[in-house]
Amino acid sequence: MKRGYSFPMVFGGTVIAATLLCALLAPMILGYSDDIVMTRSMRAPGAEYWFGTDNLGRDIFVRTLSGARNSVIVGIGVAGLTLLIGTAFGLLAGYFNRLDGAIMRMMDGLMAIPGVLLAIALAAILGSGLYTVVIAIAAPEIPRTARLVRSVVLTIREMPFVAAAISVGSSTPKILLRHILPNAMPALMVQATFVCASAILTEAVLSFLGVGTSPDIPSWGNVMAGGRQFFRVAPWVILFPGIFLSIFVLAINLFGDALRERGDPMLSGRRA
Amino acid sequence: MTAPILEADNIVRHFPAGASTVHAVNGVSLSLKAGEVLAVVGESGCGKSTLGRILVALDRPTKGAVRMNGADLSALTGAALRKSRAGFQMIFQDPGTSLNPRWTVGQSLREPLENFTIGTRRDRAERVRDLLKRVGLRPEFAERYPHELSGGQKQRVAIARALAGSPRLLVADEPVSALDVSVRAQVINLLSDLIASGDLALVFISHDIGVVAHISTRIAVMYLGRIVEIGPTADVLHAPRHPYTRGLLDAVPVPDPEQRRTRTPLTGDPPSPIDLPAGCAFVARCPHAIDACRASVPELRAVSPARSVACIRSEEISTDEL
Repeated sequence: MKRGYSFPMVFGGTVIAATLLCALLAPMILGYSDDIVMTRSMRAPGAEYWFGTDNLGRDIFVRTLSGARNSVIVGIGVAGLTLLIGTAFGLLAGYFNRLDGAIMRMMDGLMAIPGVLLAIALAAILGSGLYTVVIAIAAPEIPRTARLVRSVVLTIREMPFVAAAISVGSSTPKILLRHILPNAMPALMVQATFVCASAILTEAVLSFLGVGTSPDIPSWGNVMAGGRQFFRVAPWVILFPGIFLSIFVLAINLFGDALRERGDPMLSGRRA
Repeated sequence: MTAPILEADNIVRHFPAGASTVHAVNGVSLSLKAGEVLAVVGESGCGKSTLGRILVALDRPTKGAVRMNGADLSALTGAALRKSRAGFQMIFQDPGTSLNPRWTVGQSLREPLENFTIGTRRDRAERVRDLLKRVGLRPEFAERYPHELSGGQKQRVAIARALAGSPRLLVADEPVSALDVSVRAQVINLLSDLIASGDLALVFISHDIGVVAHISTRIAVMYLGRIVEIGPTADVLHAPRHPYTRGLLDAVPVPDPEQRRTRTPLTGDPPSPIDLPAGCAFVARCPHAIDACRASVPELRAVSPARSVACIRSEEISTDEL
């Protein structure tokens, strides 16, 4: 890995960078949503409208590029929130036997609430919007991440290097943060990319149910949700945001894998 | 006579296992002075590793006390315990897993220096080099990751880490079992050099009585959580007084076919540590068992000033008859 950058890293990194740039700039340059112009509705992709238009005559090119912003916010926001809270609970539950029961039963309780129902309830309480969506998608993912981290920690804490760290006088926080957490990172990386990808998809589901983000402000999810009804006559409405979504999710996964290998001295050929 | 570095007083360790209890260690007492190497031998599950972990406070005894330089370890908690750990260190069986795979050797060696606040930030690099030198490794090894090292090199690093806090006691739990035969001798020689050069005591835990012959000054034979025989190495090896010690010695392979033993080896397994037998734990495998052996647990009694045996028939049966 030291020799240079592998293909997955370059590809993943480029796509993620381009998407982030898009998320940052497209809404500023192109505006959030193209005007509703009924006279040009459902145009097929062509020279004038590269990605075609939807049933309300909005340019899918504009909506797809600008939609990157909300999708990226949801994906990264959910992954970040889930990882932060899930890892904290998982570390504590896995390392301290006394906290294990209480934390994991709490997580089970959280897991028992259907995600969509929680989203509807949260939308009713907090009002629908981007942050509601992030919290609603993150909440049911937290227990899953906590469980994963807990199981990884249960394995790592029995490793002799943890006993050795205790023996050479390291404090518990140091052992958790410097010995156990870094060794749990490979599993966390994979989980993060998975959560990020699935969050972007879940946002589409929520948008479709009307508890997601408003269609005025596009996201890949809600553009696709809007085009679903017209799929047979105007497949491009779903196709283009779908392609962007797929490539972005693929890029995240490839990048995550590449990062994991790079961060793992045992997988890399030489010093990482 | 100097005061002992380590004193263990009637150590008992029970592990709850559902409704029942695993009796891992059932009353072990021992003491150790500087320069001494005590080998603890016994087969798998006899409680020797649990005992080792208790001696370095990685585990707490259910009953009994461990005193390090006269200070009771069970009285220490939190930061005081962490600081006192400089005085007693453990060397683990598998060097492949006793070093954090994500840390360089240098980072692993700096950890005790930082925790025990040894040296200044600047001269710790120098101390890491010194530690590597003491275990016969070049300074460049500080930059390497464990997976770039051989098993023997990793075990040297683990020994260097244990030495960082200038301990008085080392507990080595099967330190060479995971190593190739060709590097075992190097590691054992390194350990005996360390003992010879400092005021250090070593507890060497092994299932192989042959390995410990070279390094130990005393041998304690454990069976089902108890010491059944303890004494100077030469005496125990050449004149065992407990039938189990005899069995362990007979299990050591002999390289010369002319000298092949005709004795029958030990058969069967030790009893379950969950339901301890009422009498001697060895009775089912012992060729010399009599009814009285089943009545009560034999106590460890001194048969000579330096030797003790836990066998009620030790007076009537000589070494030759065992």
